[in-house]
Amino acid sequence: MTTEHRDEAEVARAIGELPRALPPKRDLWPGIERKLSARSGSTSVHGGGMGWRSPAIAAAVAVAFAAGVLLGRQVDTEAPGQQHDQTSANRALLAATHATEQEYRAAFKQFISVGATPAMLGQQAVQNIEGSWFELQQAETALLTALEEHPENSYLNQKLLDLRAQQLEFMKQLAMLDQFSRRKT
Amino acid sequence: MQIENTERTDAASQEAVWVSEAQAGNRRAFERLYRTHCDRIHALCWRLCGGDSALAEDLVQEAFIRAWHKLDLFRGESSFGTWMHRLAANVALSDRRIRLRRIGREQPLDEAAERTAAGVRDVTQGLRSDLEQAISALPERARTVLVLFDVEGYKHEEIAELTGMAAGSSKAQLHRARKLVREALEK
Repeated sequence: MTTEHRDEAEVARAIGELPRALPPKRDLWPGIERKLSARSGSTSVHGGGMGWRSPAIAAAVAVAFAAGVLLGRQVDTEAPGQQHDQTSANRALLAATHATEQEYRAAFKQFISVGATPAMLGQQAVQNIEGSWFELQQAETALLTALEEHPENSYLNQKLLDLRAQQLEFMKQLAMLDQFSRRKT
Repeated sequence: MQIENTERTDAASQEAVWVSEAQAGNRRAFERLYRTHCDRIHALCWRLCGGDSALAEDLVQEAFIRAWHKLDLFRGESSFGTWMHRLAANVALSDRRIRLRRIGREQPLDEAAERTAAGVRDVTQGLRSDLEQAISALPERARTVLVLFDVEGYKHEEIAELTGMAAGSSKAQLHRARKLVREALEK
């Protein structure tokens, strides 16, 4: 076998013959379905005339026009931490989570893509942004999955609030970047 | 041959129906698309992430979740499989970029052999196993180019577009990767 593969073309040929389909060790569909159900807005994306229909979303990097407005209301979500009574604090936290979710979904509908101004950003910058956004999405998936099982867990809800704040801040930064790019073009 | 072509056309037509139904929000139709393409997408992710089965599974799931959210953008200009494949490659490469940034350097895959044996049921013997292990042990960029070019049939220009490297770099990385694989096989 050693002598057979000394030539680069031979190596390439051998690699080319590797199977292009390999089944995963387990069925991944149940996990996908669970995450689709958990991830906010997943079912309404299709057929509802949502903002996601914009072709510019192809870069999978989004900007929310309304991010600045939403961030201005973020202070409200910190109220539960100031409550003395644990039960009412939990109730307030759940209410805040619910309200933030509504805000987040509203912002999410208005996404446009940074890909609309790729010349200004450069491919590496877009990739970095996309990577960061993807990381936030992964955190979101994990949290929403956990919350599905423990919907009233205050720690998880607080974490979701923190994550939403990060996502909204991320969107705000992108919105500013996008506006800056448009001004320069 | 005639029968084969007819079957292929039927499969494509059926897939077009599933895509259309999934675009309308039908989760069961999307599951059929998943079942049809899962193994190819998994092979791509598994190789791109260096034979890490757990990570590959995460990437496959994330790729299909993204596909669901982006289905409205699929216009049928290519086959769904081609579109899905490209999307999965993007997901895998994005994730690897994140890991590389976090780690700050390329990490040797010490468990490559073990992962290969555990992760691939039908690639367990002889040359295939040796090759898979050699590919898993390649440095990140070299492995990416080799997998996309030699295994998946991408062109250097397409790899350049996906990875952000120049087409010339892609060619150089391919040459390097093949050389490293050859050396690994000779050991």
